[in-house]
Amino acid sequence: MKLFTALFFISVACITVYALPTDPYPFSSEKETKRFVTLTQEIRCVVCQNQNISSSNAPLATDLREKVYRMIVEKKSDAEIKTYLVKRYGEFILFEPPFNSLTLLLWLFPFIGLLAALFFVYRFAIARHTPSLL
Amino acid sequence: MTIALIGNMALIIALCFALAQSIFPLWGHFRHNVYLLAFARPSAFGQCFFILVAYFFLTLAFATNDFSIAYVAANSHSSLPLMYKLTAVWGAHEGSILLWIVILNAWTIGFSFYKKDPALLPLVIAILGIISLCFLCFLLLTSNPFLTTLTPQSGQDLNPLLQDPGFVIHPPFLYTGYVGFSVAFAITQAALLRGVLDHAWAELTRRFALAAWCFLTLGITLGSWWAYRVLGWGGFWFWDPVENASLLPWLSGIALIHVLVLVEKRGMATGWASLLAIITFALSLLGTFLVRSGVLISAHTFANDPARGVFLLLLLALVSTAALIIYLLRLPQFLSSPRLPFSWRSRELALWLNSALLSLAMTTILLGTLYPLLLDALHLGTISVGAPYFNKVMLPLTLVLMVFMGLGALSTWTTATHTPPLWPVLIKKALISLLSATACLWGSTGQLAIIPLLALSLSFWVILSAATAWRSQPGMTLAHTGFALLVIGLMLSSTLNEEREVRVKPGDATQVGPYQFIFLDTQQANGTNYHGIRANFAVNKQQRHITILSPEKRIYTVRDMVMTKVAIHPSIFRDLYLALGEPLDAQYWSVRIYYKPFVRFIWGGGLLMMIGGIVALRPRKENRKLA
Amino acid sequence: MTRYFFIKKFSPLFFLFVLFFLLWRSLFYAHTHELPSALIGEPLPHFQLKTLYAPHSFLTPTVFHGQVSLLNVWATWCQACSQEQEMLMKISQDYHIPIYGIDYKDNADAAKKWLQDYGNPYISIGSDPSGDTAIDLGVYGTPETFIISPHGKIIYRHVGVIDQHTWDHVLYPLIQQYRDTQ
Repeated sequence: MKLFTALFFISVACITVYALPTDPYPFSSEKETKRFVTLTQEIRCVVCQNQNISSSNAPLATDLREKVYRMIVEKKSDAEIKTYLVKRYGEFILFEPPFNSLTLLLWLFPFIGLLAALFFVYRFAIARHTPSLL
Repeated sequence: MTIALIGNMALIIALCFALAQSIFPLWGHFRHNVYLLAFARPSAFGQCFFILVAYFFLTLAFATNDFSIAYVAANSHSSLPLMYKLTAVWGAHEGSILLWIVILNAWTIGFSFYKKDPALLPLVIAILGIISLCFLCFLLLTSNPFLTTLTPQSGQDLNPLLQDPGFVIHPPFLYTGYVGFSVAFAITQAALLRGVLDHAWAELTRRFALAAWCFLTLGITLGSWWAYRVLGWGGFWFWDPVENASLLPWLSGIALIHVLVLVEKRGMATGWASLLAIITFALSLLGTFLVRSGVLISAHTFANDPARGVFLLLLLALVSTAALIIYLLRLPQFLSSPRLPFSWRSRELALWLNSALLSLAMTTILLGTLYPLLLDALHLGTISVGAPYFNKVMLPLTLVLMVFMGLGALSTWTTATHTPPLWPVLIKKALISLLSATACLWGSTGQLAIIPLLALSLSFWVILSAATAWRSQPGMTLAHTGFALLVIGLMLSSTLNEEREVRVKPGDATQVGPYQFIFLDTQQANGTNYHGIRANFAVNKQQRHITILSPEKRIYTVRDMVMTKVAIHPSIFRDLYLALGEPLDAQYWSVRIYYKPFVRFIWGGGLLMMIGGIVALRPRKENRKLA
Repeated sequence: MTRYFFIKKFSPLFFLFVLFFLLWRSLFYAHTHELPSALIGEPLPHFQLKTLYAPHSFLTPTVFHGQVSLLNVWATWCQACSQEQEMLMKISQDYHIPIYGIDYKDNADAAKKWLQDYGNPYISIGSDPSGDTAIDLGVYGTPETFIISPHGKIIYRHVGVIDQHTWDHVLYPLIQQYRDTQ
């Protein structure tokens, strides 16, 4: 039984890619734990097929979780941690797209779209069918 | 060997029937030749028969472990349980395209029993035949499931993530939904070709679109529930590109169904309705392209192959361009229809707004999903657009939509004979919603955060306003209530949930929420194609024993993949969710324990929406028809 | 029907065609599964790794000053790295490009044996058992090779095995270009 468990452990450690994070990360406060959970869900595992580092057991994901853990313990802010990762892996590593000239369309689209939608309703419904309201 | 031969032959004969089904009725329509038109139904039956033969033989190949067929070898194994052998047919790309075609034929046959509009029937079947023809060509040219391997292997087993009951039901229902929108599309195209878009067209399209939407709702709900069960960390929606691809026709379908009501009741918005019918099916095709071409990074994608991607893109481009050209040619006819006045506080305006908002939601998700792809294609960089973006953007949209959902349910048609005063009812319901939401939130969390408060009160608002229409439109009441329940489930499960990740050894107790989890022991747990370890936990609430939960850790031998099998104790008001992590030294295991209140409301809401849709399919009572 | 009429009528299709064009481009021109380095043009981040053969010495970015060199991140458990070793030997001996190595998340003894088996083209090798320096460099998969300028800046990052084709068409021209502009 012990041999089996040992073999199981080794094989699991070698093969696991789609399972849970291994060691729990002890924090000094509830707030930091929450920060860790949220951050690891926002950081992409760049070697996986669209997973975050919280839910992946790929070696890089484990290393990045470790790094995020240490940075939180070193009292770095969320923004600093994200900047650090983006500097090395590019914007790709964050699931939230940045707000810059390239992503302007992406972020502003919902507002523009809402105005456009209201305009279309006005133009094709209201104006067409209720001339008295023009 | 023979199975492959029969399969290929069946596919080729089906292709011939599809050709007949597409060409002759269309030819007959333009030449006004009744005999050519009559080819439609028989060809459809012929094609369906031979496609079923092909599907049957592929299933047979799986059931009999015929590993000379490459597809079977890649997705099955002799030790795979029979249930999964039979369903592994749709476990990868080639087989799932065959399933697509089977379902398309099933819808075609289903439609052909509709005797109500004989003039429309052959055209619709012809258009469905064209779609089937395209997919059959795709299958035979790039994705043939009957290709043989020279060296029969013992099989690479089905992906362990797929070996779950969720896999047995989710894809068929999802595909039935996707493919079902092709019928609404075909009916609309046929009507456009004939130049007649009347009440009969609207009712027919609405029924089929609604039926397809019900299946799609069920498919998505099942997919979400399945992900929750299988993936191991309690998530049920990830804004993954493939998931978004299924949400797009779903949203467009809702818009379509609502706008068709406008056409049916008042003869307005014919142009918009037909455009939506085209868009909805085009989104289904786009989804098929995105999932199978390899352009998106997703855990759900099938095999990547640029050749397949090119074919699907061409298919999408040709079908949508042709459809839109026909639409644009016929458009002047709709715009010249008589003006039909409506008032500001009418249901007409509410339905218009609803479709606009839903289209906005759909376009937003589409843009978000395609954005990284588009930037990359233009060599402008690599970014990710994931859950944080979609959650941020969809939340305000959903809240605005819910305001109008309620207003729409309370409003009446402009031509209605009896128009009750709107403002008293509105204010009363709004106040009740707000107060009950405040009470609920205060009672359960002790704090009033603005977003949960808004979401909860708007959900109650939607339910209360939909309840007024219970007698006249029970389907709408159920569907709207279902949506409200979905939002309640989403909001409450995210604000009230608790999770803990702990290292425990047998005997340790952990408190999560009001429950206590005591690690009892571990034991071996082996199946036909895996071996693993099961850990037993006793769950108590205030000294009262609730249940035993047994999460497992399995190694599937053939593919050498480790899978974590989650243990869930479901209940209407809360789920208890246990996932086994890694074995640590000296009997310790890492475990994740989740207390998730109201998470079942999410899928319950989805199911209720589907039931509402089914109820709305009933034939309308004649005396409820308005001018 | 005038031409203006046709354009006006079918103009909505224009957006559709733009979308299809972009999707078609994404099939062939997008690098969906490759991640370009975010550190191109940046100086090497500071690191101080114990060298493999002399644990009292360190490998630091200062060694890169003065000539164009390669920094290769490898590991014994990485199968592809062994395929690359022959090419790296060639680069070091025939093309005379200095190559430094970082041994990523590895065991020192296993590394030494591996180098004996497959060859050692490195002037110096730093050990990164925790993978921290690799994260600092933005490494996500071994083998990875960085071209470092004489000022210690990262010019290019190549992920995967370097074969003759990649060397001839991508890496060597870049190196020569950098040498010429000196």
